Amino acid sequence: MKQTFQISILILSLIFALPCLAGGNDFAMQVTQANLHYQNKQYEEAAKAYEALIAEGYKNGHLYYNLGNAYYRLGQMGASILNYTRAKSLIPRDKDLEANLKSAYQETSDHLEGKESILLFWLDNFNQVEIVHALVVAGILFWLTMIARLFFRAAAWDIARNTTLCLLLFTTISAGAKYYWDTNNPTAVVLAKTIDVKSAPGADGITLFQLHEGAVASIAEEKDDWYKIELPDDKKGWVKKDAIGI
Amino acid sequence: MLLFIILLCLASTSLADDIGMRATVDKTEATVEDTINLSVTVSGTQNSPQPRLPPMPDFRVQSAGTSSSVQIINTKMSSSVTFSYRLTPLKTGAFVISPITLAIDGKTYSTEPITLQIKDASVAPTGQSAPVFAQISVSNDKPYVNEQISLTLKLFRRVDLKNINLNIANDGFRKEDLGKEKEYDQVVNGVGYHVHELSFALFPAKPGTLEIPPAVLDLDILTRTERRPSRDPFAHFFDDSFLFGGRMQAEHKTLRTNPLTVRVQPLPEAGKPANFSNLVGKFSISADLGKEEVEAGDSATLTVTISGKGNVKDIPEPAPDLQAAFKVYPDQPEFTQEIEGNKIAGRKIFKFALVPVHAGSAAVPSVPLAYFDPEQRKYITVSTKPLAIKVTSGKEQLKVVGADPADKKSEPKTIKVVGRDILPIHTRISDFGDLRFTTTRAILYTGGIIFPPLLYLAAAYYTAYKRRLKYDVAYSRNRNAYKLARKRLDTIVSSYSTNTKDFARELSKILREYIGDKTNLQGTAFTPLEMEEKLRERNYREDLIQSVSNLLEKCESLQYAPMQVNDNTTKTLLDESSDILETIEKQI
Repeated sequence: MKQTFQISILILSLIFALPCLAGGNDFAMQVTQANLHYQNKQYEEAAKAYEALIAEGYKNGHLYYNLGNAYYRLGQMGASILNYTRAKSLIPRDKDLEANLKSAYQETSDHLEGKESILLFWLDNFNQVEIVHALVVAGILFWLTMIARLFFRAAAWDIARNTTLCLLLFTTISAGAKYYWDTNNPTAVVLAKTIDVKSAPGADGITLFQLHEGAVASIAEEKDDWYKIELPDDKKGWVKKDAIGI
Repeated sequence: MLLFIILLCLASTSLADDIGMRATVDKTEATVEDTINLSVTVSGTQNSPQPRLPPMPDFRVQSAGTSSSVQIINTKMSSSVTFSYRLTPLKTGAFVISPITLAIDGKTYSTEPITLQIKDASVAPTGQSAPVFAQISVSNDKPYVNEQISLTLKLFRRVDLKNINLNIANDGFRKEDLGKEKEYDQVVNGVGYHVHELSFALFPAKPGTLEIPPAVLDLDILTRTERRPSRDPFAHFFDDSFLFGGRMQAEHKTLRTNPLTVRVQPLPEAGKPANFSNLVGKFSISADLGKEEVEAGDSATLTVTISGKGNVKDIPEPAPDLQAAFKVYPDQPEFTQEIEGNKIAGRKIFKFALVPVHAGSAAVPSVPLAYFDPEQRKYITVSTKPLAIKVTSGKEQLKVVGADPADKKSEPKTIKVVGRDILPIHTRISDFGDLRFTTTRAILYTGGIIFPPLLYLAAAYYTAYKRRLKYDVAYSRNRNAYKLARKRLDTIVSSYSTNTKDFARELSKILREYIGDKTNLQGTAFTPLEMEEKLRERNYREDLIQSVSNLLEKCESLQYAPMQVNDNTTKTLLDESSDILETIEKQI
């Protein structure tokens, strides 16, 4: 029994320690270099360095946040909002990010902000990794209480088992909902200064309305190199893929 | 009792034809202040319908109840129903009450007509020394439109009254109470009266001659009935009117006051200010700004107070001309009304939240108020002092919408946005871990999800096994048989290597106990034949059974008929038994 517990603890600590372990020294060096560019007001170099790291495949909320800052300084609100939005899915509870994203929204001319899920509101406050961790921990706790029930036949263990079962169901539903939400509601940010939103994909569509840099919409459909976007007020239309970022 | 009922029945049948009807009044001469009691008695029946009264437009008719009586005098029985009415004269003169008709069983009965003389109360012989009388007066019979006049009603009495009910019509006026009733004593023509005085404020609504109709007072005069001289020496014990209230008698009376005429004058057209709004009386106006300095975007409160005497309810909302310099948000006005002497006074407080539009100095111009002073007979315009407020420029002009100026102080000040900038980048290197979904991560997650249930299965299997060992003896013996036998075989070599006889016995015992454990047989004293049977029952291979019995037989023969023994013999036996044990274990 004791051994099992120790193994579980070992696994848990491994999972949580992972982000620290994975970041190599080289990566840290490059980040420091990019940050230095930013602090020396060489925003273009900083942005390039951050972009290079992202292109290498590094995934980190603070990296996106810093890139968003660099684009903000360069006056590219579309790219700034896009990177802040990406950062938000990784570091959702960061207060600096919240403030800067708000400032960036203020700078746009359409003032269209990304919508938040209302029903499962807590999902916006956790990133995917955290929710998976919660799911794994809840699973381990559940099975541990199940095992404990085999050895100790006290009513308290039944209560513990039911509690952890609820926890497990809750985290499972949350994880499923988070995955569904993130894959089915991709957020699009307008990167071009102005784009025409058309009634149909292709050149023969009529321009319905215009969106400006930094406007946030959600993508409903994809066809060739066109996206069908939806605005919070239910306006819909088709835009060219190259004018927006996801 | 029975006789009485029979008599009653007889009476009601025999006297049914004998119906009579008469009408009486308690007096035929009365004043307009009196009430006349009219009684209609229907005799000869117990259940008469209501008689139909002729129309009497000159009287107010009130029903005063029905009473019935049965009288038996010397076996002669009479029954009657009396309907009582109370007539209140409305006019003076001579009136005739036409016959009152009643239809019973298809026959119509009627009463004699009654002539009544109604005189004016003022010519009543009693004059001013009447027990009770009332009068009204007005403070001013030539008021202007909307000027307040007071109407005073005085009730003079020198008797006890109860059930006083006052009714004053007020057509063409707005009436308001002027405080509580006053009571004092006054001597009129040498007669002492107790006076109740009640005042009302009247505001005439339109010019012209207006008649204040007489106030009507319904009341009961309480009079003490004369005490009858009694010879009973104890009578005075019970002659306490307080304890035995029956000695007081009430007489209903309706008092009507003198009508009054008021000539209402229109307000003069000459010199009427443009912003005059029917305010008549004496008024004053004042204005106040809470502070002298305000930040642009912040709000100041302008308080305009209008107070005075007169038709205070009609005080209009002032309209200060502020649109150029401020955004104006008016508040609900506060209104209080009070009575000062015999005048209605009051105050209306208007509050405006002012939000300056520009920085610099903003002026609140004087607010005028026009009213008509009936004492000076002219229009007067009063106005507030002009006020100024310094508007300091806020760094950012914000619109304050709907902010309540009243509790401005308690509110925390909103933070003004000076400029917009973003917060700096994050530089703590430990934050920059890679969150990529790597293979190791995937393996760990999968492990984390799959490992605990596997662990559970293992634990479940383990506990189930433990439980079986604990509760299932056969199973437990079966499971432990090999372990036990193996152990004993290992020790046997060192202990009995010298003594072949003992060795053979011990080996035979180990084997038989092993088989016993395996097959759950008690003890070791079973024959090879018995054992073969048991093994066969449990579906052991035939060759295995044979080798087991061969081995056992060998041991037996070694025990009882020692042959040539050498080291090899024991060794072969031991190896043989080990093989058998392993084969049996494998077969399961």
